[in-house]
Amino acid sequence: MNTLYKITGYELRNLTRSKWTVLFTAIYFIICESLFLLEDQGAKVVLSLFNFILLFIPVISLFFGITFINNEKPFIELLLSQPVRRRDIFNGLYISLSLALTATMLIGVGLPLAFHFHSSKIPSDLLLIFLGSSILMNQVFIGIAFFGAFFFSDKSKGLIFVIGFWLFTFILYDMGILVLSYILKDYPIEKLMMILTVTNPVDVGRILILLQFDVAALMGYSAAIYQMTFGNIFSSAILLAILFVWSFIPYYISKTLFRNSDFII
Amino acid sequence: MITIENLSKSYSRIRALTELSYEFRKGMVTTIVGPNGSGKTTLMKCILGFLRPGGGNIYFDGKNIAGQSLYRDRTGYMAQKPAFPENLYPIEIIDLIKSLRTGKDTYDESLISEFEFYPELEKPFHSLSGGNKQKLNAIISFLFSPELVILDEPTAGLDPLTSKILKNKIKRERDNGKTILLTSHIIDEIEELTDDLIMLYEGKLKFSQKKEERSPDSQKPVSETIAELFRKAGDEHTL
Repeated sequence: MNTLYKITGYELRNLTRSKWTVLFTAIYFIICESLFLLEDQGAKVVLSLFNFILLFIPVISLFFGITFINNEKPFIELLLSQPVRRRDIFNGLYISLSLALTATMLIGVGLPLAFHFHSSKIPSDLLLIFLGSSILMNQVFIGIAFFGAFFFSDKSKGLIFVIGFWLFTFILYDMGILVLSYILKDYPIEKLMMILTVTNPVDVGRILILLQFDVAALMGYSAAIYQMTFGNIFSSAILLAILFVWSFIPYYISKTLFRNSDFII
Repeated sequence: MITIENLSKSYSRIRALTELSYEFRKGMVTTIVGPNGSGKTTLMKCILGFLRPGGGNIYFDGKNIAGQSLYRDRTGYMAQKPAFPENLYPIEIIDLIKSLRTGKDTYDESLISEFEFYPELEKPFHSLSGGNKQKLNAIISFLFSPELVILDEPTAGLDPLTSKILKNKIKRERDNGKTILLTSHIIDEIEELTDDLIMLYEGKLKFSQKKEERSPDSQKPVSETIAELFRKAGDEHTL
């Protein structure tokens, strides 16, 4: 525990001094503040912000995450040559990166949200769901970045994997669902759509936020099914739980990989 | 000190080490030579536990190291390329490594003064020159007066003066009874430091020579032995 605390502390210090984390915080802040300049209603700002977060969090967590780990690999080798358990090294890196990226988001969007909370009448439950799902999305993609970095010893293959994962979850998967729903349009496919949706963390995030608004016209097919089947509150709880599971799976797999396999740089 | 017994290691279909057996003796500098890809770094990384052997055993003072990490309290390692967290200062990196070792309260910081490294301790790692990064690497590897020091091409990237300081340090540690494992491609360095010599070729132990097996009145330097071995290995490969 003590070792984990030390590795986390020093890595966190390394990350907070990085110009990248400062840049990410500034981007979050500028986008959030700009949205408040354009729109008075807090709920609408949060909806717009969530659309931005859905794009920005995966990009930062995947690309910054895998670059960070790849750069740290020679140092990980030095840590492995010390009397330290592998799980402490892995958890130290994972926790420090998670805390640093979560802090950039919480500071960047948190400050404007706190400032405009009363004047823009932002609903507290909406704000909590927004922050909770943003943190979980962050964890999902950091886990994927760790998996890419430790599964592929070749750095370029790891990078290709995360680019592919991002393209797949953000664009290709939904195209596939659209084609499938067209082909199977004559059949009852509601349950199938619900299952297919939860297998993509970006879709889970999208549905989660759409459920918070009375925006039936904007609501995708899958979101409408969730709302009809479970209602808003229950659906939100289920989707947050699914995001939590999604954040745990890549973390667990990459930790097992790191603990049990060769460390090659 | 370190005993290797039928050690094998493969990367997918490539055999990096094949049934290697050898005993690294205490108080000696053992130089591992061999062409690129002969398995030198793989052997070192197996001893340090970065790589898991496909077969065979490694014993540290008679105890099998498989699944163990505490024996690394008695080892020091200097990697070929120094790399530390970019935004930390050398003083913080040294403090972190110190804090990971249990039960140590005295440290060998002689290299900090010998390298005149004190002014560099408070600069971010990314701002250090390549030579200064390698100096930090050397300082950390000797910091805990380890019984076993593993050095992977230690003087690569160092200027002649720093290189001489490091080589003197290696000799002093050897004279103090420490065990040193060294890989190098620099003939002068091998000539100056080597006690025992082993040569790996395509993952197999091709040659080994203990210090006392070299006759003291022999005019044949280590470098000539190595050149001969490389030539022979090349001829066999061609045949």
